[in-house]
Amino acid sequence: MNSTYAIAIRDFSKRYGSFEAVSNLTLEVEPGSICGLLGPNGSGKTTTFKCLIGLARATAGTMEVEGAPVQPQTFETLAYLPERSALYEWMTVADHLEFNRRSYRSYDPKRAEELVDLFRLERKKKVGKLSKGQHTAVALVLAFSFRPRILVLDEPASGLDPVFQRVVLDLIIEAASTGSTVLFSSHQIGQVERAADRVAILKNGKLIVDGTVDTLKGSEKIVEAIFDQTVPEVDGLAADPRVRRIERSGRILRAYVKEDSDGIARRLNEFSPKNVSILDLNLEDIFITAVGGEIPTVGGDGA
Amino acid sequence: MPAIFTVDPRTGVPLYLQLIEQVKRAVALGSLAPGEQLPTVKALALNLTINPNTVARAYRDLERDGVIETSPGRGSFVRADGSSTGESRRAMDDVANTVLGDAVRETKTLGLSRARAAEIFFEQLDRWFPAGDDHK
Amino acid sequence: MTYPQILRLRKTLTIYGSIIGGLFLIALMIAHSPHAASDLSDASKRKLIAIPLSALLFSAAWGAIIYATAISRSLNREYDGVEMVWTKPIARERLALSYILLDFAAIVVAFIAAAALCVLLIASLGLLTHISVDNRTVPTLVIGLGAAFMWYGLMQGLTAGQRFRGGVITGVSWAAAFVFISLAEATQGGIEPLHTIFTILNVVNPLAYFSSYSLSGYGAHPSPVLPQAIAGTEMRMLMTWSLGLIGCAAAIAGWKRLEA
Repeated sequence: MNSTYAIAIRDFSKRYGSFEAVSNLTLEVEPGSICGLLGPNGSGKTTTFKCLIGLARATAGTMEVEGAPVQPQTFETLAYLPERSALYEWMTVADHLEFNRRSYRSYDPKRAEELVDLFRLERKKKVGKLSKGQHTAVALVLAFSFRPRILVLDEPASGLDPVFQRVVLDLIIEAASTGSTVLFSSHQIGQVERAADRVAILKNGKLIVDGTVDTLKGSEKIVEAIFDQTVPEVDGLAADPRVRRIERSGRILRAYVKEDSDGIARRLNEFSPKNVSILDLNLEDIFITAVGGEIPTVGGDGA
Repeated sequence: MPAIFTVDPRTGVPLYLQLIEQVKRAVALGSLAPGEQLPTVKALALNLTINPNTVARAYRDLERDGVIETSPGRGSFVRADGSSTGESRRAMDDVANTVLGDAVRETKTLGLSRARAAEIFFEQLDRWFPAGDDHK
Repeated sequence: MTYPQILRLRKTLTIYGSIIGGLFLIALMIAHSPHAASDLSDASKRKLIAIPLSALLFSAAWGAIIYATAISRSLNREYDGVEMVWTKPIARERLALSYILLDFAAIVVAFIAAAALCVLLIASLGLLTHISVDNRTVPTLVIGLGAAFMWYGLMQGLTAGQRFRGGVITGVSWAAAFVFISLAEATQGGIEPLHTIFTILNVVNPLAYFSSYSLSGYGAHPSPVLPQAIAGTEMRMLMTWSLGLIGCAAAIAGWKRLEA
């Protein structure tokens, strides 16, 4: 049912002229949960966020927050952090806080002050004089200062050093533990791994991975087979829908598996390997595999 | 609250399982006493910087397994009863099973034969359980 | 939710105030210079000095017009920060309307400030009592402010729905305004079809309604640079405000449709 989801994106597509930025995206976020959106640059994350909150219009599909498309009143309890800084360079930090105070009924000045101190910002300083990370910090202060129920954050750790990145994660976790819903995108896969309930991975505008972090780790595995001689031809293994890709090196065959690693292991056993083992993947590995990269090698002529 | 739990998000093991094992180990070893209060879901999530639902799930499973009990409004506590030798021995067995299971799997990956693995295992036993040592 | 615009207008009014303040001081110095003083000290000459209020308002209106064109891009200028501005609990149309109303209030303030300085200048010469209300006072006031509002509205209408930085458009509009008037005037003596073309173009040219060309004609003498149908005083009062309103409406509609 639509109204049970805090954020419901269904069959969403966005086209710019002939270019399809996002195709048939469906993503549902439970209230009080944290959803991480991953993907290479240009994969459609920012486009999705913009259409969700009404900065742009969807070409097809529906996007709802708490059961209805976003309206002006939704923003009383919805905070958005844009990918690039939308702050006024000529206004001070304090001016921005005042802007928020006048805009939101639920603005909490004490909370805002706490956050300004937390990020070590100077109230009187013009935003134009702040570093990139400090721009993000100001945007974060503004987003969290009115205790929103829903947070849509596009790269909330952009430009921040590791200490503050941890602070951002803490803010997100604290928000979720008080019942707020967080949808955020990040290039810091470690962050998403720790904090997110669900993960969705976009590539070229399409959803290629969607599930809880635990389920993904449970099903995305490497099935590794070591043979006595060179690896035999395993017909059709690469074409198996359960397999993302195959790697061969000397006597070792590695199958990057999407699901049913046991089944793939059994299949490989038919070729009488010396040993078959199933290896775990962390979220970063899963991401790189799913997005289809060999990690580019730097310098030399590779292996 | 002592920071006696650590979890590693980078391994393939789900975080809630890691947490369950940590709590069971702590109870078995006595670093969590019977009746002692566990941190709140929110506090532990922030302390470990992990998702609160992960903590909540671990606590739910721990309660289902009879290791802890939760009273609404008061918090989660290590079960005072049943943390008798029976329970804690079972908890310890769980932990030992996991640890040894991982170790045996590793030796298999290395390509050792079963016999050779057993040899090395007993060498290690001799090393850590010198003759005459039965329990500690 | 219009706080940034309030801050901006404060800034621009301060700058404007400094500029007209500076001009005022210069005018003051010239007016009290020995050369000018000699003309004014002659009592018989002084008695003949009559200052119609419409002339004073005419000068003041120029301040308002210039200020109006300077701030007319306010909605387009906001595009850089729309992620902040369009994610507040206010409908875009309402926000745009608020901006326009604030801008208009600032234009009125600019007008009053310029008028006040003119009065001060005249007062410093002891000629305050020589100011008289004439029958051109009201049209000058209405058309003067109307021209400012019209220019503002047209610029807003052209730029609000765009992503590009419309800064260059203001400069171009001033150039175009003067060019169209000059060409309409130059082709006055029946050089067709050019004269008709330029008079039609001047329908959207604020200067055509308010420049000294237009004020030289009133009542029986309509402006020579506008189509005859709308060249009369009443029509010019109506047209300036109507076109301003249409421009603002187009601006609100354009801003609403824009995508970030």
